[in-house]
Amino acid sequence: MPTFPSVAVLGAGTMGSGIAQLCAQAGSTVFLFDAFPDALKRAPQKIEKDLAKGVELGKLSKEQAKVIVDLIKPINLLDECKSADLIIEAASESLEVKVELFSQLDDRVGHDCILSTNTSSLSVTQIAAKTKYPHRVCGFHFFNPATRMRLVEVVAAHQTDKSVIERIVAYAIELEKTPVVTKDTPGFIVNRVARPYYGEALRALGEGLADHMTIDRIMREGGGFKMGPFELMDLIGIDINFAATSSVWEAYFRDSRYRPHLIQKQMVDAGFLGKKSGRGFYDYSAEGK
Amino acid sequence: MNAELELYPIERILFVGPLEDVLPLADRAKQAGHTPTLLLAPAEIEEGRKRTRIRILGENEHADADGFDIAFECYTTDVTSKYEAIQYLEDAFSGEAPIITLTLTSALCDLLTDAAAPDRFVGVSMLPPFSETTLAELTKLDSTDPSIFATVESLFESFGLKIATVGDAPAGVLVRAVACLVNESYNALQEGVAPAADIDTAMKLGVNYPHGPIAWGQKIGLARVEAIMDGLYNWFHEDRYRATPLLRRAARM
Repeated sequence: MPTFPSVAVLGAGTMGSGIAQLCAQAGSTVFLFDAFPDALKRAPQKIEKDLAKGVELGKLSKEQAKVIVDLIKPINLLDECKSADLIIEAASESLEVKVELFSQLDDRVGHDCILSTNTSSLSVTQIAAKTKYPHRVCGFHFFNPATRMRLVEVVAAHQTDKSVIERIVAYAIELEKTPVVTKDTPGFIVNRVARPYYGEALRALGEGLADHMTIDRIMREGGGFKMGPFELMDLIGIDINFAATSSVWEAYFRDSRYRPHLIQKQMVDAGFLGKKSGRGFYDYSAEGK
Repeated sequence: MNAELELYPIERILFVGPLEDVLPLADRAKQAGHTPTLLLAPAEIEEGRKRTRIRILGENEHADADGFDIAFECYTTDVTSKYEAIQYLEDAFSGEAPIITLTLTSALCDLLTDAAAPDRFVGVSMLPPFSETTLAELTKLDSTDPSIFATVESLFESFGLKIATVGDAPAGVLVRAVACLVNESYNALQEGVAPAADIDTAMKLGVNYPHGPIAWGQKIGLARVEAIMDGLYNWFHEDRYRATPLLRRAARM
């Protein structure tokens, strides 16, 4: 029996569907909520496709895949997840959206139900403060793609009960993840400590020390990084990376350590968002043609 | 590299600097078939002779241009010794022999403010420990002699290193970014965001870094990371390069 037999994942986008799949794989019944019918329709198809790949590779049987799919119940009303033991919110990265969802759940779910958020950059303490029972709120931050990346950050807000963190850590291990517990500070561990990788590369480019291709090559060949900072920003999405930088910078009262760079903002303004838009620091227009 | 340039000889190399930094570089030179010699601080000569059979100049021996083709100054944390070594090499190598200087803590132009012949110098930034370095970032001044630069490129290629040419700033591109990552990880550690081992795990599993930044800092040498951060701070005069107090404390332990 998993630590949380019944889980509700709020948001059926890329992260939400990946998390729902993980929880079902661990044996939890999963209510997958989304207000948008299209997203709710696409998510199970995506999960089935991913599981079919696993069957092809011999990682699991067809029967096991079916059991996992059957454990996922798409829902479009929050009322339908009131029996959940754990809520994992994976909606859009907006404080208002997250606060609104949690406030709607406050009295719907049981008192023992844990409310967790997959936020990568918002303050969990701030989200918890807007709920009726802040001691049961924590961060449960997965990395994209959630089914493949081994790390999860378990974020303890100022109000979070120790037992809540212990149960989430136990569940993360059941999901076959490596959990690290982090204090609720801007960017937690990864999105904060990684900032200089992008920031210093952008500054080196801005100072004319080298072009972006040379900087990427230096980082890969000299530093052993799998991807150079500009290749990585193109993959993540320059807008996403810029938003993460801006968020940490704002949250730390505009500490110059995290200051975003004009080059990045102008790329976003121009719509050069990286691979997904066909053009970022590199040109991808020939790809997929 | 411009094939038409006439290169200077690179066989006899004088390495000047702390034993732990010059020794791995001199070993690379020896493996590449060159003849390295070390010029160490007097206090390190005896230890050096215990650790290597590479020639080490005695306390009363002096380097001169007749004895060497090229000199490589490798001080990082000890800025006073660095300036003294540059001055010494300029005086001792009266001819045109190329002089390489490590630019981990200063921009090349900053190191050569008082140099009599800055056009014979080439700056290099490499990620310590130098026994594991895979790439050298070379820096030149506008006035650097192209033959000297091409000679230094060929020397680093002979060491089996990849080469990149970058503009002039302390710590080049890679060392600057890695030092800032290490510094930021100590900043997170100082704030109690997570224990050191968890910070390292998070960065290796969350963003596939080759090393956890805390362990990486220890591998590079925390005193070096601190000196690099101070070098960046002195150059840019920007708060973003302030060394984290916990890093400073750890560097002294």
